[in-house]
Amino acid sequence: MNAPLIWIGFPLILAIILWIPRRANITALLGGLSSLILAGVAWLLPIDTAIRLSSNLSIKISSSIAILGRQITISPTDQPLISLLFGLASLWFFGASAAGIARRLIPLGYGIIALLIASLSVEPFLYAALLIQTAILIAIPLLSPPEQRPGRGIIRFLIYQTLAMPFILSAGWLMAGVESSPGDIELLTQSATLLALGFAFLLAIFPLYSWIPLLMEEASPYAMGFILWLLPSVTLLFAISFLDRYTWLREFDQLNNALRSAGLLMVTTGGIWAAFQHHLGRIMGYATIVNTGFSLLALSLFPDYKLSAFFLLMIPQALGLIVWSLALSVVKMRENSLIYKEMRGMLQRYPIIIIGLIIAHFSASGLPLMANFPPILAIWEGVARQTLIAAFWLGLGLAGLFTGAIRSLAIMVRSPEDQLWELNGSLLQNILIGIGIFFILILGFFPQLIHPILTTLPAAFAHLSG
Amino acid sequence: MLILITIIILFLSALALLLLRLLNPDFRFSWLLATAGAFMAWLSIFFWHLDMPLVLTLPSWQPTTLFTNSPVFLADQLSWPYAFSLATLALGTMFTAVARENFPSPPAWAGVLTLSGVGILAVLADNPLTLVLTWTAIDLAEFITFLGSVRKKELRERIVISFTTRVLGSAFLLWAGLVSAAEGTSLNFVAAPKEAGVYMLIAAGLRLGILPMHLPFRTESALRRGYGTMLRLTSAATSLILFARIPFSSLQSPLIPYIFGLVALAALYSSWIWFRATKTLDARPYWVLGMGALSLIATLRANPAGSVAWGIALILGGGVLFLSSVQSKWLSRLLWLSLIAMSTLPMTLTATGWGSKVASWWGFWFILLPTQIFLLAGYFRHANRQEKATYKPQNFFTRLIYPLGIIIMLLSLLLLGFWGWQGAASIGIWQLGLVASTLTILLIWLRPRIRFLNPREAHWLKPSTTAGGMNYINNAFWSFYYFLRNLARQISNILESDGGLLWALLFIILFASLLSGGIR
Repeated sequence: MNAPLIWIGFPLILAIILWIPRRANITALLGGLSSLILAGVAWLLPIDTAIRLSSNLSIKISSSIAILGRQITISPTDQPLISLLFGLASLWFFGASAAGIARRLIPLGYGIIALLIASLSVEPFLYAALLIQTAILIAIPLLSPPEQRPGRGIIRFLIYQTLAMPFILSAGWLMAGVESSPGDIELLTQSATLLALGFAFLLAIFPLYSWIPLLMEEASPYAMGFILWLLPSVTLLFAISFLDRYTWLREFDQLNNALRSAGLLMVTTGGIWAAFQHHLGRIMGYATIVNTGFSLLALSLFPDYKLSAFFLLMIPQALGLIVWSLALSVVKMRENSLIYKEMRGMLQRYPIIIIGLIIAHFSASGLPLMANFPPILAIWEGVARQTLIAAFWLGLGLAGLFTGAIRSLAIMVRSPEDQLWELNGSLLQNILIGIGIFFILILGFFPQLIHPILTTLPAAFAHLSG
Repeated sequence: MLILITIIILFLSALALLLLRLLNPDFRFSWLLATAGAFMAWLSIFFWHLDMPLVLTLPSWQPTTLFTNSPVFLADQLSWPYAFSLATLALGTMFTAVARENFPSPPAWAGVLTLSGVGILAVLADNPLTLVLTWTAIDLAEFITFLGSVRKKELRERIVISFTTRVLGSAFLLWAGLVSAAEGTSLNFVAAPKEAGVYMLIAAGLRLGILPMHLPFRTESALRRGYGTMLRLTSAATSLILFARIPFSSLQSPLIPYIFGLVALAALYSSWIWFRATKTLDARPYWVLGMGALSLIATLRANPAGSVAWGIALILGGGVLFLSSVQSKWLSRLLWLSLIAMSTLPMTLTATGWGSKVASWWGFWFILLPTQIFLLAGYFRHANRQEKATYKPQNFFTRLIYPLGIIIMLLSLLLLGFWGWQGAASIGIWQLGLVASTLTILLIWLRPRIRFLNPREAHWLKPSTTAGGMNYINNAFWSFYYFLRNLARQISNILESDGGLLWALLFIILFASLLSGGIR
């Protein structure tokens, strides 16, 4: 038995098996449960330690496997991270049936997760870029089903994500040279620039995020939500592993400034753009850009906060995105549109769904009492300690996102006077969104509830965890 | 622990009411249950005085490296009177509910008890973080309540604007925290850097509608008298507590004299409209504005106890007036007791109201004294003129219970003047109190005799259609908004068009060259 087989091989097998059930509910249940079990196993089962089953039987899960001369290693310190990824994925999978996309999202989702986890574990790490690229290729049928004519968004998504690969591969190649001659400033500059460009494409940093709003109009909001949660999360973990691995990169003078500038650019532009949209899906797209911006800002604060702010963001952001994209999917399935002018009076027709949508939006814009508020406040304070002007720009981005929420709300409450309150949407949809709202509010007041999960996460990055 | 007991009583009573409503809609003792809950909570607050200051600390936010503050509640000399007032208001609302048309109304009573609980938590907030959290809870409660009770879409849009304004107020308090963090300190109510004080003032002022003066949501819903009064006054109390908490050391900005002037003018304007308004409930926002402005002025004069005094007068004095819905000569006369409490005469609630630890320009008295006079004279008018149901047709039960609600609120108003906080039962600046009282009596006497003082129509309570100063600000705001929107759209169109890829690459090359330059 070895760890990569459990957390990479088994999900790949599930990716094939879960095409078989014909009923979406069964697929969602099996997919969600399997992911939950994988998360539990990652949390509980020790790697590289003998587990005594009986007096004469014991098993040991080894951490590595060799494939074609490459090593894939999942060490004990990686386990909490894998547990978190599978735990959050299980939430996505449980909601997939309510979003009407379970039969596509779950098998493809398992494939994507398996490849992305492999990308975090492969040695030499340069192969990670190839694995990420493969995951992106698998995401294409998820975002653009074969029966649908591919739009501009999907093509641009493919182009931008593919362009990242040569930059990262070239940066990795140059980095080997930097390691052997650390005093070569020219080489160092070149490799840092190439690496920054590679991550700019992968993380869709301004102005490379135009595919997100375009794709939000074309694809299923739930599938997009899943991709916009998973890709940036794993890419950021991949970026952190670079920082952890290379001392010169970690101690680079301009690193914090670059991360902060990129983060601010994302938060400010994403927030301001969100304020002027007329399509609910596009607004969610811009909110995910803001989310990525906050993650970058959290990383820019690592001299003060280490990785605690970054990890604190992960669960609230994912939770908000699940509720938001599920609500959008329900509205899109039933109303066939997410354009503002079609949304008048929706609050009275879909009260729980729309409240979920608005609460998730409020949470993304850092409204107090919502799950995202504590981490956003911590990051905002950290930024303010460095420069108040940056904190102002950050506030402007949040104000933009909040304006988007208020505009959506103003449209949705504008119902005809004779419109009665109804409870549309299936029971499952309403229950799932109701549970999501509850947890968003709980985490807004008691963020310490997720602290036990977060304490072990930074261990995967020995040099950054302090 | 004592704080927790009060809060638990209120929340459990509310929960029990809702559960009974769901499981046993015919339950006949809902009012009794709600009133018992409110009464026990009210009684329990008296016990806080035995062991003040009381602190309730919730589990701290983790990790502590990220969060310097966690939710903490403190009952002390400044917050206790507010907590007591809110509990009294809840009790008064329950007692007077027996005379309302919509009796029995368990969901509204559950709302009153919940609001009272959240409101008490808000006034006990010991740091800005706790205050912001409780403010948002009340804002959401208000938002959901009004949205559920209003049908007209124009009114609903105003509700959204009102909610936005309040959130903006919370954002200013958060900004004060960030300014404080930039100065290397964590914002709290004991010591705050002088750069943060103005933002705290703006935060509370914005939420009350004083700074800048605005009434985003003038026409209120059908839930006006009972739950509506509770909601309005709880919301005001949670903002007023910030005036009492702002350390005066943080109010050293050169902007303070201008703010003082603006607030004084807002107070005068509101009090004048309050005095001339014909419908009490329609004029309620002006009462909140006028009294709230006086509370803010006390803060600017380094007089937190005075700020609390005006705040309590706003809540209890206003509460007893707005909850009065039954016509009775002697009950109307009882309301005059409120006037004594608000007269700033010695040994009254507001005796400390005009005290000051700093010098201010004498000319302001020509604004502040008329403000108080108009507010008191207006109160007298509303106590005598409001349209009420007649008292006689009510049943025996109503005739017994309803006055009790009014009397409890009035007694509490008088009691707080003696026993509210350290330094209550003071003489204060009695000369000003005497002048204000005399002039108020004179104004009351003059009003029926001078045509100018008699309102023809409360036209100012309707949304303005003329192009006033506010319209210019409004137009400028919208012009800026449309400019930004067009700009954002243009950039979006460029980046999302077929040529967007080339534009993006151009940007990237630009950034890369900048980055390389920076590294070198």
